[in-house]
Amino acid sequence: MSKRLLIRALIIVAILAVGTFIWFTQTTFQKTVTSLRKISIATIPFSYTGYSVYVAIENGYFKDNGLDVTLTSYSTGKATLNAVIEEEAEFGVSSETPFMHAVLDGAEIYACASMITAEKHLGIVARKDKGITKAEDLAGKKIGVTPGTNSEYFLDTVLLMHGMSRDSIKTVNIKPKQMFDALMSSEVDAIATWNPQMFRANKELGGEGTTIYSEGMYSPWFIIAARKDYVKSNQDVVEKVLHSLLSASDFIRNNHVESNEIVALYLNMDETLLNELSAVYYFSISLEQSFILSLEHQTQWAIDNKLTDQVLIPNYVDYIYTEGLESVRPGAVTIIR
Amino acid sequence: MNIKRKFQIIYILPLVLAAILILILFSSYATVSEIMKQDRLGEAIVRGVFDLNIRTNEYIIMMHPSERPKQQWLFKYDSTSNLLDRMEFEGAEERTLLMKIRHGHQRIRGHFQKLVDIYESPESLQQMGDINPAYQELVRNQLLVESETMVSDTAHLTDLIHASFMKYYKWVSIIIVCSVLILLLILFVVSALTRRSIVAPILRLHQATEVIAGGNLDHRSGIETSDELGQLSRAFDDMTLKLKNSRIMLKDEISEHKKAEQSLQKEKEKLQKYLDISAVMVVMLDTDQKVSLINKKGCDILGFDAEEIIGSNWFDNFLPERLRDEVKIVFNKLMAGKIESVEYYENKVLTKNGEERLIAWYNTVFRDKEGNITNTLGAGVDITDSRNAEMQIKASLKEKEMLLQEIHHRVKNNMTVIHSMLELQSGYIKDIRYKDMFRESMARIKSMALIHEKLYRSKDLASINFSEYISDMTDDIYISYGLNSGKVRLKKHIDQITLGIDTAIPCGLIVNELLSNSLKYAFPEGMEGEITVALCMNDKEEVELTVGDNGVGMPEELDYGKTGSLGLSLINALVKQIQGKIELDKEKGTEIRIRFRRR
Repeated sequence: MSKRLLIRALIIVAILAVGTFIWFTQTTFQKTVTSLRKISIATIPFSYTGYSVYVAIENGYFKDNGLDVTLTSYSTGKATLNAVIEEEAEFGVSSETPFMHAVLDGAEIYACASMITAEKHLGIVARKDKGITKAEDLAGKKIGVTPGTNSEYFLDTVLLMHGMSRDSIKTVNIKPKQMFDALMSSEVDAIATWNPQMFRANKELGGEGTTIYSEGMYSPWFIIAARKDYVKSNQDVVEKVLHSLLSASDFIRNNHVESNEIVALYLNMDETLLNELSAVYYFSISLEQSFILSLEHQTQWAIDNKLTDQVLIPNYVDYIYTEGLESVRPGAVTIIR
Repeated sequence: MNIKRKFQIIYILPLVLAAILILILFSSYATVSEIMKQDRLGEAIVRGVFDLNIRTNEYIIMMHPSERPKQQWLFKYDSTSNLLDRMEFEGAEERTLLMKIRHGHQRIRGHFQKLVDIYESPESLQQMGDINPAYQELVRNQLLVESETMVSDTAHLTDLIHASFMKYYKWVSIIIVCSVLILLLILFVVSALTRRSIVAPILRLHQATEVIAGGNLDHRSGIETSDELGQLSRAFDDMTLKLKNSRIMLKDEISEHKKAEQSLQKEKEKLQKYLDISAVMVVMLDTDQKVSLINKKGCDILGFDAEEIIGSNWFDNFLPERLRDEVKIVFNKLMAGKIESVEYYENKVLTKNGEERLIAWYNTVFRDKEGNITNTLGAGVDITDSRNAEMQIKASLKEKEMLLQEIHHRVKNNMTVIHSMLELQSGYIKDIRYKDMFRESMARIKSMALIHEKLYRSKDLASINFSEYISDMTDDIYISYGLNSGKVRLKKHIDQITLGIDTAIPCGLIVNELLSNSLKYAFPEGMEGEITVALCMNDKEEVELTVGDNGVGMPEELDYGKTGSLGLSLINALVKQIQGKIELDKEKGTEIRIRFRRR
């Protein structure tokens, strides 16, 4: 008889516990909803740089971490970082090259994490009818490039790989959005650009076009950056952002097709096109030592090519915020501080 | 479900769960072993990539390196390639990262070759002119970048392996804990079910047993399960109901029994009163020779109170010592069933004052259901006084018999004297008629004397064997007439008949008269013939006496009822005396038949 009473008591306690849990989670959720932290992230709508951000938004990872994210669109990485610097956005996504330029220009920003590295993300799409079938044929040709972006560094790397300098070609400064039209209209003989425009141009040219890659001499880094003062005063927000991006990155690695479907909406293009890309993207929220090496080499390149007034390579360790990622996923940080 | 099936489930279910748990553990062990193998391989790759990175830096720093660092770099590169080739993953994330490492590893080989070319064939770069240093810097930097990236990526890969291991370890732990919890839960449920379906009914049955044992036969176990316990409980409840009914019946029976006992007691008391007022001594003995019942008469005869007698050994206390052993032997044989009980016997008992009393016992025995004798009951009549009186009467009778015999003897002697005197007197008589008269009287006296002789010789003085008497008397008469026995034959058909003296004397005289008449008148002048004397009992229980002859027969004019002959008158008088009937048959000689009631 006493056992039966005990069982009944346990059942009642279990029901109360479950009820309490549900009540607690409900109230917590409501509290979370009501206290979502509003932040904005500056992105480039036709670029892969914001891939992880888009997935994090669509899958609700930001909200899960108490963030109400608003995306602001800019045409280049340089513009997104300017938005950050100008406090138009709390965070901005870009490649490593605009970040380098921003640092060289004296911006007090932090790279909070790299999100993506890629192979064959950038290329030089050339018109064969302009006599370009290989890298060496670029000599003397008009090549469209967007200054301040990694396409400029990429172009110089390809030229250098094939014994050429910037002087051996004619560069035409073209905004990313205008690259495709410039090539199609033969305004330029080739364009140094990135996906998805690169893939689109190559596809459009078909047999009349060719794409020249860096043969492994350059892999871009897509990063998320924020102002130093913001980071220092909003470390919790940074950690939440990183946590959300880590969740997105984990999702992307294991759900490639679904992720492309999400991103296709943001890039305003058919997801089948994304699936046809020959480029390989590695989604990993990390801060690696090689990132610093890349920054330093690009800085040297910028100095050598008089792209900056600086003559010394800055200590990029001071521009990389490792604490945030270390607190969220320590194994993802290999930079020594 | 029956108990056997329940126990099978109780035994089998934990075994099945344990087997599943073992399978999970075994499977987990295999998977963990595979992950550990990947982990060791990952660590080897990490070490290899680290070494390769160090060799890369060494080669870059040396500017004019010798063959040794190049060989070591290539050797490390090849060994790392082998390790990477051996590595395989199922997870998409791991596969992607491994692909990235492999791609980087392949690129690093190209970058290193470019650096080797820079160091070993600097002349080939002369054509690059001003950009040569930038190119060399690019190659060195990209080699370092790729090398560092590989370090990070392999470290990340090992993290993933560790994470996978930890994830699987966590999963296995959860599975094991859940399995154990489920096992415990199932065991608890099985235990609870066992308690509910087996132990609880047994306890209820036990409680019911105690309640019922306490006397409450209205209590029921109330277990309605379909298993053996339910059947047992229902049987138990049925049994309780029957027990209740039996108890009611038993109460009724006890009540009736008490009534019967009371009635029996009354009857017993009544019987005791009967026994006590009985003039007969009643004694009941147990198989161990002890007195279990005695009535007042018995106590009176023995001179003891009933309390003194009951329970004491009958033979040792109430039989004369000389008889004890013999009677005990007989009693024991009777008890053992070796002999049949004697319904009547006489023996003496010893009274309190040492007097011996003769008791005539009428006995019977009581038996149990198996037929064994449990008691003997004797009803005894104290015949001491009557036996003494009888002895006295017998003695007196004997004395009178002897006296009567003596009288008969003297009567017979007197008659014999008379006969002898008549015989002497007849010797002086010349006239044959008077002589015959004397002879007839003598015959008559002799027949009467013969009666007295038979009487005093007889044991019974009141009656005589008339057959013997007739036979002897006819022989004497036949001889006394001195007839030629060859011509007149005497045939006798005499049955054994006893007659009282009041009948025997007249009958003897009748036979004497009739036989004398036949001898005198039936066969004149030496005529041959036959005289028949018969005595028998006819169908009417009458004595039929026939004396006849085949002689000349009686004269036609002679009416034997009205004759003046003394002999025939005597015959008629004697027949009348014995209240008999006489018949005369003249058809073949003369035959007179007399019938009378025997007395």
